[in-house]
Amino acid sequence: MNNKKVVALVAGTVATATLLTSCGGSHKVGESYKDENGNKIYTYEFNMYVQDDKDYPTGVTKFDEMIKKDFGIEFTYDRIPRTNWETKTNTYFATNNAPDVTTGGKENNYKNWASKGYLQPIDYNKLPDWKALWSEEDLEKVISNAENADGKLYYLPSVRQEKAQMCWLYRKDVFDKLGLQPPSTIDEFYTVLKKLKEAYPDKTIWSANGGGTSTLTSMMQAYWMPELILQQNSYVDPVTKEFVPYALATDAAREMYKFLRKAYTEGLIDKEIMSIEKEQFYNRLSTGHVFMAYNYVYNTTLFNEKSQRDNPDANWTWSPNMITAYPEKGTIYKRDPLYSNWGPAFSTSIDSEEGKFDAILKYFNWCATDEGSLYNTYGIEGETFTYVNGVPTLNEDMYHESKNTKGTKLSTIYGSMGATFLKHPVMFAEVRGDIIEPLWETYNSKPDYYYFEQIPFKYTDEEETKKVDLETALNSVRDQYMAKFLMGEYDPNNDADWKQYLTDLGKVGLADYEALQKAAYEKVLASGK
Amino acid sequence: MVKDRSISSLVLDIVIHITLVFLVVVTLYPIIYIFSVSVSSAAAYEAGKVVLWPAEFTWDAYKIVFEAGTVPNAFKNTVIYTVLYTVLSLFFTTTMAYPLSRPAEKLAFKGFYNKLVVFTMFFNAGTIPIYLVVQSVGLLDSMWSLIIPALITTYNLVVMRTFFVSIPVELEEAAFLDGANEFTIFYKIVLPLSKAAIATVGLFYGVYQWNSWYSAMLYLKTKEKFPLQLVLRDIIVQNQMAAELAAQGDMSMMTEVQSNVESIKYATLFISIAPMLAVYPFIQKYFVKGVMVGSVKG
Repeated sequence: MNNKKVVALVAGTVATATLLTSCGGSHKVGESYKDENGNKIYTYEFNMYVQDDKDYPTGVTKFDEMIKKDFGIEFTYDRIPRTNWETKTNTYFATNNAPDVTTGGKENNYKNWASKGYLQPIDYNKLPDWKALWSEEDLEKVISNAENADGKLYYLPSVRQEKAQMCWLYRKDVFDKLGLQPPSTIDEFYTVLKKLKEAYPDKTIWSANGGGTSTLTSMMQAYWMPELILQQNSYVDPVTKEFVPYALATDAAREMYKFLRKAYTEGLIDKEIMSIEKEQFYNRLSTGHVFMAYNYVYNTTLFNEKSQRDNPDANWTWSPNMITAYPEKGTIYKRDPLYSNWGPAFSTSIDSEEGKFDAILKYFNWCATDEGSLYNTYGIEGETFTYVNGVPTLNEDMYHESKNTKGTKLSTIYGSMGATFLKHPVMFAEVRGDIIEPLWETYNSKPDYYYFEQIPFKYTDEEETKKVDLETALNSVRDQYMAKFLMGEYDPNNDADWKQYLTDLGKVGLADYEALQKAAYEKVLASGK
Repeated sequence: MVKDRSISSLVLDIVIHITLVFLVVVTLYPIIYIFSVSVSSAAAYEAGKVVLWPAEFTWDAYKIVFEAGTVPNAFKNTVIYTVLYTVLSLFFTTTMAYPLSRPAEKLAFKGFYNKLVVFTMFFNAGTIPIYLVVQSVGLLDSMWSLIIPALITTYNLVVMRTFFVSIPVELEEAAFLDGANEFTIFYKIVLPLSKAAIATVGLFYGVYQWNSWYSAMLYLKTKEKFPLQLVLRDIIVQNQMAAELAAQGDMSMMTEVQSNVESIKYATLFISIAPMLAVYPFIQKYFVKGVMVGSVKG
């Protein structure tokens, strides 16, 4: 009996202790304090993603000292691996554990959190240097796209320095050998593919670097649809200004499918184009099976590395031409958006204390200045970089994206430094600008080259839900038919098959979706944006 | 036993053998392939030279994986979490299953407890409420957040309880007459007779914890506490995300990707499956007995 009493006592004590523990409050980062000089220091929980296994400093860094001294702020970081970031941050918001500052999201993350009331709207007029990152006209476009349906901005976009990155890459050595030129029309493209196939009947000829249905985005542009049409669905024609609510149900889409079907039947396109993985594509590159691919301009180096292992003469280069099916109308290329949407965004807790929000806005405004851009890109003069002939130059042991990928990263020394709204122009030119600018200039110098502008749609929560539901259903049918048209189960040349496709789209709400998008577009027109 | 030498029996034997050989091949091939890629050069893999056996043999991927530090530390964490979780789960599962397996007159509200247990099999609170509970008891960023919330799995509890039911109650009565109390009966009579079920359920728990990453992703913040599967997931998924991020203007992952990323991926994968492969043969004899629990009445 005594044993039983002892057991009961122990169990009761454990249960009570557990309950008491659970009732206790936990310390919340985010309260201000006075430093040794009596200055008020605001503290923030800073949520961010990381994408490598590099170590970050654990103690106080010079960056921490700088922001404390100059801005009166202090960060406590929650560094989350990129792969977990979205789920984890969603959980934080849903469980009322929102960090004061969040970076690393996509626009839909921020807009979604804002519509649920988790984020604090930003008065961007308090950030004059951030505003000056764009021209007045461009800033208006950036804001109109980035703001929520309530007309408020909930995160700070960054400048997208890459104006154009996507182009056709081709094996120049093979083209030269066969006397071919990079094509600029769909007919020329077909002729080139045929000649390549005749010369190399057992090769793949044209492939893509993985990614499911998005492997065909080059053809969507050839038939005058935006590269990201599979996500956007709607567009405004840059020449006729006609609004198309669901692009993949148009005659242009049918013509595209007809071409793809022909290329597939004649063995001109990778048989696994709809399911190819990046590793498979690299395998084709290494074995010299591919001669044309639509990709990033700077991947020319990577393609050459892969191809030259077995064939030192292989020479990938980028084509100055995009391909169009309507040469009389013009050619479409992908102009990158004016901004990237990494954030930062601020949770409503940022306003819990007077002056806290303004203090951090002051810091982020500084990040957008030349001084801030230099600091965030190069670190501290004399420590991580020096000026050589007036040009900032990283020390030899420092990481450089194109010159020293094994070097020490700034984040290893200074920790995670706020936000880089604009990579320092010198660094950008060194790592990418020198490759991208010529492409951009080439596209710009050509007559009748057009790109699609983003449409600043705004939806109410109800419309957004309806839109997402309709898109899910429609895009599922669309993707199924895309595979069927390509592989021959359905023939886009056959009227009955095409009608069947449209009927199936209709069954899952094509008309409703078109009406929704048209109404949203009319709102955009009415707003004058 | 007389051996059947008829044609039909022979044909049947051949079919059975072919089927089993096929089964062995489809089971072994992925494992051999993973190992082969992990010890082949990146160039050989990309050139499609690795089909079954390694090509251009190299331990480079394993060197990188072990030198980086993340994987060995994560491996150590996973071993600790798995051992602790398995031991504790077995303790709590057996101590809960045993009373539920005894006659109703020995446990008040037995029917209620049984229904409560079955209820949790079909309904759970969901991610957010569980997260809130873990947070409120101060387990966030603690290894206990991976262990305590999942200490008892209902299915395993039912398996254990069913096994205990099959132990004759007369054994306990005899022990009781000899002066044994409930604890002595449980530890000295019931548990030694339940090795098969304990090994089976232990394997279920062990494999569950070894393969689990979601709870760690949700509850852990400190990188040094991450289990192997979470690190492995990062390696695999980050590679896939590189292009997506690059399209949005962040090229850092594209440049981070090392040239032999596939070999590294497969090396990490092999490291993560090897311990389970090594442990399984030793508990297989119990496993076969254990999974039969409750299948035959009488």
